[in-house]
Formats: sequence, structure tokens, C-alpha cells
Amino acid sequence: MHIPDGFLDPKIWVGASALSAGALAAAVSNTRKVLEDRQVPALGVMAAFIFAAQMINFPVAGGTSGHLLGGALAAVLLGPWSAGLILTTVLVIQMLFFYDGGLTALGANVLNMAVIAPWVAYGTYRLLGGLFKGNAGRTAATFLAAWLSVMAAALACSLEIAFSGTVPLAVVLPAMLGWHALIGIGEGLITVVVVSFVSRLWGLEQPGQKSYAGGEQL
Amino acid sequence: MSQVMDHFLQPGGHSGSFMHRLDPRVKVVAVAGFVALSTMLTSRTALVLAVGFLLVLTAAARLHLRQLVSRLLWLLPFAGVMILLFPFIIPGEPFWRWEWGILTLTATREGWQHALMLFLRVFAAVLAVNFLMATTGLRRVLEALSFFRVPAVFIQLIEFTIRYIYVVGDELRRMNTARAARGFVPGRHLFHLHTFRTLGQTVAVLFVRSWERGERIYHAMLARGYSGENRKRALPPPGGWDLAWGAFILSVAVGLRLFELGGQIWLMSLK
Repeated sequence: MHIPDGFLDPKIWVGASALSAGALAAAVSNTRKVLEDRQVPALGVMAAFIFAAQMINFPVAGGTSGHLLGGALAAVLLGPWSAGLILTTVLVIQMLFFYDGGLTALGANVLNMAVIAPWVAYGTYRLLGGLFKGNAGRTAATFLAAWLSVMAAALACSLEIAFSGTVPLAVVLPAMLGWHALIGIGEGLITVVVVSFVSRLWGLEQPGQKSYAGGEQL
Repeated sequence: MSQVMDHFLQPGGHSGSFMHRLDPRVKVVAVAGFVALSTMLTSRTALVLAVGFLLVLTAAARLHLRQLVSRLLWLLPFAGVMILLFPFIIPGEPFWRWEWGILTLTATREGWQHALMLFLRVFAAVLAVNFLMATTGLRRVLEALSFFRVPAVFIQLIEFTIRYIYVVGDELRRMNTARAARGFVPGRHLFHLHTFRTLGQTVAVLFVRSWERGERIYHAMLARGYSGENRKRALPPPGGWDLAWGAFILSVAVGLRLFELGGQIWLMSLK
């Protein structure tokens, strides 16, 4: 879902960059209050973890495979502000070292995968987690949070490309959403396993608790 | 993966052309400006000229094109698929047809031209970013970004992440080996739940190990007196030679953009 250079119109990429910059500034101030610069090493290791987790491929169908985005995972386990910082770091490194995602499209990619995806996941998780109690409820909330985060990022990506006039909306929207509806299932399944494993291991009611102790307050 | 990263962690590269010694801030601005302007180009001539200019720069900096080509493979999943599909999805005058039973594929001239334009834009941008990274090295690029007031949190995060990508990546490789040694064979579709349980547990264990490692690292750094402050090394002001090169690179991009706009006006005046 990494948009390369040349796919976006200047209006779109400048606008998306401005939105992302605002979201990141908010993330920096919201994490700094309690997290402070001193915890940066720990966030760096988590970013390296997301980077590695994105390299794990899972089967989709007929020999094709997808990989984890990690937006929902980071948002549920570490909080959406930290998730934004971590995923932005991952995207910058992917752009600089692997040419995955363009320089001018960085703002749009950050917006889709480091802002929209974690916040949609976090919002869904908190909302549904409050509605349905118990283990099954939390599993459903986690799965839907992960699936919706992938779909929201794919939707934003399609709209950006379509409004740039690169591909007609009628072509890019069904293609992106169709494919990511499948990818999102894989993302959801893996996120469910990880979240339940981690909360059982740490003995937490809510997985976010540990990261509150580490700093982020929401 | 790690060879790719090693290549860039060498500051300045080994061949040491004069491009390598240009001021990193000038190069960051020139390359970013070039990419921004070249993504606005629409005519094939201007894009081919932009790619040609970047190839000359790449050659002048004595960078290896072969490594670049292998790096381009990373783009295939998204950009490659989209560019390959364009001739078939953009409506227009058909120029190629392929029939196979009931399935008919028609490629259109407009679609093909659109695909070629996007390919040239992506190629130009990749050449430009490669030129920047390969002649400057990560450390100096980050110094330049810090000069441009990118918050220190991001600079430090990028440095720490790159440091630990190796560590976490090695951990993951060992876990993959262990999983394969236990006879794990991934299923072939989304509904093979055993696959997802196993992969999910891999990610979960990796998460917990990374988290604990992060805490240990943080405490070890505190014990050595880490306070979150980053010693900043001020870069010397760029010289006239640096600025001249930066201005030259940018003026080529501006020139191509003007050439294209001028060409359009000229064409319209003919009509």
C-alpha cells in the first residue's frame, strides 16, 4: 500500500503532508508529556519489531500472500500516539532504504498507515471492547479493529490516488478494497493471537495497561 | 536485507567521488526539489530527459546501477502491478488484444502511455533518492534533517530503529529456523487457522522479547548516563561549490518543468 512518487497530484501530497505533520506534532507532544525523550530507545526497539513483523508473509489464496501492516497491533498494545510515531519511523526507513513509498508521497503514506490505521483500530477496539465484555467480546473487537484499520488505510490510499487523477476511482476502489478485505482477515487473525497471547502473559485485563505504566495516558 | 542496509550505513560510500563530499543539506534540498518537480512532469520527452540527467549524475558519482536494479524489485508489489495493469484498465484506442477462451484482454494506447509516464516518474524518483542516500550516507542525511528542524525525537527514533532492526531481524530469523525445524509448513489460504495461530505466536513472542529488550536497553543506557539529550554536531556552512551544484540540480528540474509548460503553450498556439 506504499504509494510511490509520481502517483499523487501536488495538491493531494502537499495536503496529506500537512495533515500528517499536524498529527505527528500532536503525537510528539502527547507522548512527551509522560514518555519523555528518555523512553526513545524502547520505542525504537518497538519500531524495529514492527519492521520485522511486516516481513512475515501469510498465505491469502491461490499461492498469493500478504503481510502484516501492524497498525492495529501497535495501537492496541502501545496506544495510538506511540503507534503513530513507531509506524512513521518504519515508513521513513522503508522509503530511504528500500524505495518502498515515495519521497513526495511520504506524507500520504504516513497519513494512511501511521495515522488513519492506528486511530481507526484504536477507536474500534475501545468502542467494541466497551460494548462486549469477556474474552469472546475482546477477540471480536480486536479482529474488527485490525480488519477495519486495513480497510480504512486502503480506502484513504485509493481516494488519494483517484483524486490525483492517476487511476479512475471506479477501478482503484474495488481493486484495493477487494484485495485488502482479504489481507485484513490475515491481519485480524494474527492481531487477535498476538493481543490475547500478550495480555495473558502480562496478566492484564486491558492490553494497553502496560504502556500506560510506561507513559502514554489516554 | 542487511546487505542493503550495510551499503547505506557506510557514510559517504567508498568510491568517494566529489558528489560524495557535497554538503548534505544542499543535497537533501536539491534532491527533494528535483523529485517534487519531476513528479509534476507529464510529457514523455521531459521525463526521459529527467531520467537521463539522473543517470548521468549516478554515473558521475560512480554508483553501481546493478545494486539499484535489485533494489527496484522492492517496488514491484505495488507500483509494478499498478503500472502493468494500466494498459488494460484505462479506456481508449485499443492496440493489442489477447484472447483466451472467453477471456479477452485489450490494451489501450492511452493506458500504455499513462503506464509509461508513471514508470518514468517512479524511476526518476528512485534514481534521485538512490543518489542522495548512496552519496551521503544515513548519518549525514540525519544531520541535515536535524538542521532543518526535524524534531530530535524522530532523528533518535530512526537511529535506534536501524540499530535494532538487525537485532530483532536476527531473532526473527532464528525463530523461523526453529519453526521450520519443528516441521511447520505454512498453509495455502486464509482459512488455514493452524498457520495463523503459529505465525501469530511468532509475532507475539517477538513482541514480548522486543519489549523486554527495549526495557533492558533503556536501563543499561540510563546506567551509562543517558539523559535523552542528543549531542548535536553543527555542520559547517555550505561552500560556494556546494551551493552551485545544488542550484544546478534544481535548475535542471525547473528548466524541464518550464520546457514542458512552454511546449504546451507553443502547441496550443499552433491549434
